[in-house]
Amino acid sequence: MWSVPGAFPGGPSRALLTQNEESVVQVFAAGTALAMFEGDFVTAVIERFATDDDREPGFFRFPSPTGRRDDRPLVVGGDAAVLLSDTDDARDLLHWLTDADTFAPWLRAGGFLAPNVLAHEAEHYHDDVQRLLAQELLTAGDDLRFDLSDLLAGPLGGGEGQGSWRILQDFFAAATRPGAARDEVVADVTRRLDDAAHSYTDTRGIDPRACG
Amino acid sequence: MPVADPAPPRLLGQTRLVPDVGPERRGRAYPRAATSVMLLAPAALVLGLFVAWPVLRIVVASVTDDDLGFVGLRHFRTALELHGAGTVIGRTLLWGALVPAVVTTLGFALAIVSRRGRTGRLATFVLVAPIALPLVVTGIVFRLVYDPDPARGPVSGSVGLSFLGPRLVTVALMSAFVWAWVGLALVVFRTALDRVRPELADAVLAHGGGRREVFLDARWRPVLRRTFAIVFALVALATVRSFDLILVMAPGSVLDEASVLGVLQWQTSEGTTTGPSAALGVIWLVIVILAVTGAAWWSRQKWPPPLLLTDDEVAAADDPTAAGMSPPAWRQATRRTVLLAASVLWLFPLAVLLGTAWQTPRDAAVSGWWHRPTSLESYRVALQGDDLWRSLLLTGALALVVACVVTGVALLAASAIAWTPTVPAQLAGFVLLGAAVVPVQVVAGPIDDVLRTLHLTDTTFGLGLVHVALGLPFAVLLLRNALSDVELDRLRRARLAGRREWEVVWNLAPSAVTTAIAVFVLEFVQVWNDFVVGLLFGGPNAAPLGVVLHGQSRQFVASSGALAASAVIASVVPLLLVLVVRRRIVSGLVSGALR
Repeated sequence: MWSVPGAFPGGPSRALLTQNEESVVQVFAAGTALAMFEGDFVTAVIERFATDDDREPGFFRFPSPTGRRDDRPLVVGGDAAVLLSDTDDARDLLHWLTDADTFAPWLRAGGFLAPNVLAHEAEHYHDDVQRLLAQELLTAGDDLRFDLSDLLAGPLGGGEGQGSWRILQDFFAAATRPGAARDEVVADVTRRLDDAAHSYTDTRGIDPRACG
Repeated sequence: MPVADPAPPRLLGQTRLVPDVGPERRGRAYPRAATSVMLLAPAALVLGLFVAWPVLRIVVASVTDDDLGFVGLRHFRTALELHGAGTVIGRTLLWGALVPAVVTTLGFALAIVSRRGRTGRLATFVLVAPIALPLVVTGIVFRLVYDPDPARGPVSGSVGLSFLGPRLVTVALMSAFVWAWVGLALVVFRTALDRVRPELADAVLAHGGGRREVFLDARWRPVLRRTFAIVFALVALATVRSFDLILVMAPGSVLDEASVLGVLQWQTSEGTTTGPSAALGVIWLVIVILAVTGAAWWSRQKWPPPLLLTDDEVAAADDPTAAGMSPPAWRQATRRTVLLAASVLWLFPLAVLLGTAWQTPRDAAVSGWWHRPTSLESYRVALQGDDLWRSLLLTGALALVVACVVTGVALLAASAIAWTPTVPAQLAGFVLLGAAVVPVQVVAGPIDDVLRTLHLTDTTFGLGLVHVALGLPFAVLLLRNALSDVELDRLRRARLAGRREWEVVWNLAPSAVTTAIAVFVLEFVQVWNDFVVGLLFGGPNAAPLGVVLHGQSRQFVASSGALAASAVIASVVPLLLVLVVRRRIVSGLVSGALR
């Protein structure tokens, strides 16, 4: 898909210089692109740049690598609350944090989805897109996958341009280079990810088999 | 009626002071040891906590493990095996060699063509302005200039090159740095050139020398060689600050291609002291110390120092009514063309910034900075909410307090070491020079430990303390130079008139006023323009201007209108301050640099 000419405005090397909110600008303000791969939180940015006569943005779930319709995990990022000391006050706080009403102002502001069924029923959501996304979240069941890339440590972690970010970005650059040999590129990225994971488990004395 | 006595007023009634037998020495005026200790105490405390101990901690950590067991060079090997560490060290050295070479050469050439006339003064004004801007703002400016989208960035559009791409990003960063620093080199060279005695050139000509001999014997050897060395060293040390530029200007995907030691250190240490990051720090420290020693050797002063023109003589020579041969018309025309071209080139990035800020955020994201119609919408968005206001207030208060404290504490410390015997004074000078050049990223981990122990993490007070420690060494050096120039006679008089030591300091302070003002303004601007200290030691409760701007620049295009407006607002104070007192700053700086 990456190798399709015109898949990225300005070409793949330009795409690597595009920040995520700029891709929203490309779709909704500059009109140089038609679709983007983003999280639901960009709705707030869309609002800043879309004009009134623009159509409501649509969305679709990313196609499954296996091609089967029922095998499309919903990848989400989120926060988990953990009770470290079991006191009444702590329980109260946790209850409050997960209460449907607590979310209401956030839901109205947009850019936030609650896994709480009651919050969804309350229909506090900012717009239809958010409501549909929330519906998907509630019906995903076991297909829900947490993207823990923020929490990757050692040679795989790090911010922009580091760790696995760097490896995948080099993979993108290599794969979109004209005349790139597919097998070589895939073998290279697999090797680098393996090396990084091993050097991490080596330094920490973790048995890679134990990690699964 | 008694006739006015032309002799100086006598002290202590009729007793005439007779100088001691033997040559006059400053040693007659040494303060007592106990007083010196008291004057030095505040500076020593801050520098000990935030510079000396952290450096020691880093050196120890680089050769020991967590339990302080000796591990030899293991951490150094790990550090050098880090992905791309060798390249990063090489790139840091390239910054330290190439950028100062370009800045000194360009600054010297521009100093020569801008020496006389109104065009020269105007061009100087334009060229000096960028030095006052925070480097974060310079980064924002050049990211706009080199915008890879042809619809917004005419430079990339017309040349067809991706300046922010992996190949050229370092060139783009260096050009931004040169833009910011040439003004300083220009001003220092001009001051140096103005002070060369014209008789020297006449003497060389009279002995049959040509243009080459005039340059070498009347300009280069007496003054310029030393000035070149000092400017070169100053700019080379300043390339440590490329950190700010890189973090704002380089897109995340090319950060590796732009990275220098400061960035690598910041990425690997994550705010704590680890063995490999300490090893990297030690490598960096060694490089810096070698470079400073080299520069000191190169710029060593022959004794006696050359005779230079005084301020009054310079003013007289600059007088347009003064008789003199005017250069041929073609040369004047060439000079004027060069100056105009330089001014336009230097104004262009500022025009891009102002143009972007002058549009609605939507237009700034979609079309170029030349787009019409203009609007103040971006300024409104930038000042919306109280984020920017709060950080403006915080930064202003911090800069003011830090500048006052640094000037005061440095004045006390300088008066203690300005007249001490030679050996301890030289030792103090070396220690201060060393402390002045320690890159803050190297000692970030231990400084953080100190702040945590004092419960000052993420507080404005903690930030202020770190700023004071980082600003003190240079301030003390400058003030020491100014105070040690006080004439022996005045020093003695002050010692005799003052019953207590602080009265002596108070009596002598006026002679360092120009330098003290320079120190104050430099420190204020330094803190106002800071990014790295705020990033390393600040937090949500202590977020100065640079950190707030950097935060906004994470989504560059989507927020470039408001970001440009914030950048303009953030630049007004330092720009006005530096332009208003620039003469005092230069003479304060040069008084130390030329002697």
